[in-house]
Amino acid sequence: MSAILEAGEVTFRIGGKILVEAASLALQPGRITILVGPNGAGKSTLLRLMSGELVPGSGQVTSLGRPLPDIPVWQLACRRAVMAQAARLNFPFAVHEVVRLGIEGLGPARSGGERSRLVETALAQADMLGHAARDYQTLSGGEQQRVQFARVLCQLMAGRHVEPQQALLLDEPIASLDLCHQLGLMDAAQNLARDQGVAVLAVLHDLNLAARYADDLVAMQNGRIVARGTPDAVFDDRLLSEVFGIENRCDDQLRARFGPFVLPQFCTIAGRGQGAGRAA
Amino acid sequence: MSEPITSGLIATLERERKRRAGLVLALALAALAGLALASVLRGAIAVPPGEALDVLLRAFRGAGSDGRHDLVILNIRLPRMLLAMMVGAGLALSGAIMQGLFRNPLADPGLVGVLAGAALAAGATIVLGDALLAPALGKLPFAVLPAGAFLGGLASTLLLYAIATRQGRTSIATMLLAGIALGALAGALSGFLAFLSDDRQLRDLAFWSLGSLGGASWTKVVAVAPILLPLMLAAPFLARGLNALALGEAEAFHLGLKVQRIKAMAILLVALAVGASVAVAGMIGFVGIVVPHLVRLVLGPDHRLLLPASALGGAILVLAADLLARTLASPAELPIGIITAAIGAPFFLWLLLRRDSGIGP
Repeated sequence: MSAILEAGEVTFRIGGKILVEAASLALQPGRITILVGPNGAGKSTLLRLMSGELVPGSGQVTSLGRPLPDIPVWQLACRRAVMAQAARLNFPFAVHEVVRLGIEGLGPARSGGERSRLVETALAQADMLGHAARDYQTLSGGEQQRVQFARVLCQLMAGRHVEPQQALLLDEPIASLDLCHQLGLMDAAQNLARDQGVAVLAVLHDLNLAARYADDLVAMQNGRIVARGTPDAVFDDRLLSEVFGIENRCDDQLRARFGPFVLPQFCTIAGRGQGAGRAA
Repeated sequence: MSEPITSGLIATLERERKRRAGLVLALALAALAGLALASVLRGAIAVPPGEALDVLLRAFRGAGSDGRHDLVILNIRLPRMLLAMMVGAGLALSGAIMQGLFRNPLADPGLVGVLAGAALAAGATIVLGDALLAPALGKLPFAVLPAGAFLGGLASTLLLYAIATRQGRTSIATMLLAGIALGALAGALSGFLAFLSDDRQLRDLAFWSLGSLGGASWTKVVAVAPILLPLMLAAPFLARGLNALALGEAEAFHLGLKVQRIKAMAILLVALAVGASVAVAGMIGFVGIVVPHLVRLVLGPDHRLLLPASALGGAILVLAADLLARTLASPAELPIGIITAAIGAPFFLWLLLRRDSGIGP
């Protein structure tokens, strides 16, 4: 069976600098794939390549066996939704209008009543229904992120009738969220995968949350995929110190009870405040 | 994930918004109708209202003209009123579209040099056209001037977009600064044209740089209507795209919109509207920034409402400004650009002062 989204040996360079090199990644229905790696490892670029926003210099991204450029953009929008890093708006759109944008580009028109119901359901799932009439610009960063999540939920719900096999791409979706909403958002993504068979790809910096939610964990470094597998297999002291440049401890006792658990001790990259974290 | 039964909260919010929009649009239409009537009745030559209405009604029925005021009403004030409405609608619409395209409420064809570029091209056709084109073509056809203004507007919009866009991202700060530079350059070149021109051309140039509807005629109405009216009809098809563009170009693509096509269409529409307006009325500034902003304050930023409401608002503003221009110093006439700038510049400053961290470059 072909994957909902699949990158085959994609390479992307800009101005002579290689951002992603020969990366292959397949998103399968119902599975959560989480990309981890240090800043500048190429995680976001790989995600943007898989969304079709960037076109790889070599290699190609396919969806259900078809190359992305061959798929009409509205059809692609029914099949995959993308939540990028912090989206700012320069116009005073109300929260419910921002969520409704999720339906704007999808081909087949829906009745106004149905659209309103989709918007309301998405807002409720992102725990933002109480702010539906607020001006998006006046929300906090975390609240804005939840609105954007509601928007992609809305897009997936609206596109499901056209494209039953869907993918959700999340670029650092929980960067500004409080702990409760971090779990809430990841749970919602997990439910989409379990119940609707949505293939989820997320870029995360929190390794413990990555370990907790990932079916497939993919580690990137310098534009290459350097490790992949279950969280248990990928997270070990050697890989973490090599990839992230941290001295750390994957606590074995905790691992036995909760799965992989990472407690960073200190940074080992020269000039990055070595030992600053020792007191912890 | 089952879709739970909803409370209808969003549907209610949207219904309320629609009701409000309907009310505001109805009021605006009434205001426009009132102003249109006033602009036919008021002017340097006093025409009793009863007689003016009589002239209009007779012309409407196609009856022959015998009144003393027929010329004033039918051949001067009526085309001028129509031209004012079309130019105002075109300028406000192009402002709203440009702000959507650049994702910034401060973008405006006047502020970023597009108007100046169109005026420069129009000036060049006036001054150089006589010297270069006239020998070849004989008398210059009327279409040369609007065509020149349109090409000038198109060239400056494209240049601005090319300068401000790097790797698919449009830098607003660069756009505003580049717009100032382009505007200054176009102004300097226009000044050079003034230096080259003879007395008659100089008067024409002064008319372009301050803007005036004084030369309104049915010829101009007929020349501009085929450009501006289809534009108003085409604009609503941009609304969804501009809404999505507000999130960013990448996001609009993710949402399923053909971003490049929307951008190309927006640039073309702005150049057409600005070119056509400049060709018949010269440079009338600030309409494109004042009107869409007021509409956003009252009706919100949804382009499906913003575009038609801005067109309506622009028609109202320019019609009112022209009425003032004709009557304030009657029987003399003020350039309309002075009136719109007198309203628009303080408004723009107020905009900057009340701007919070959420808006702006």
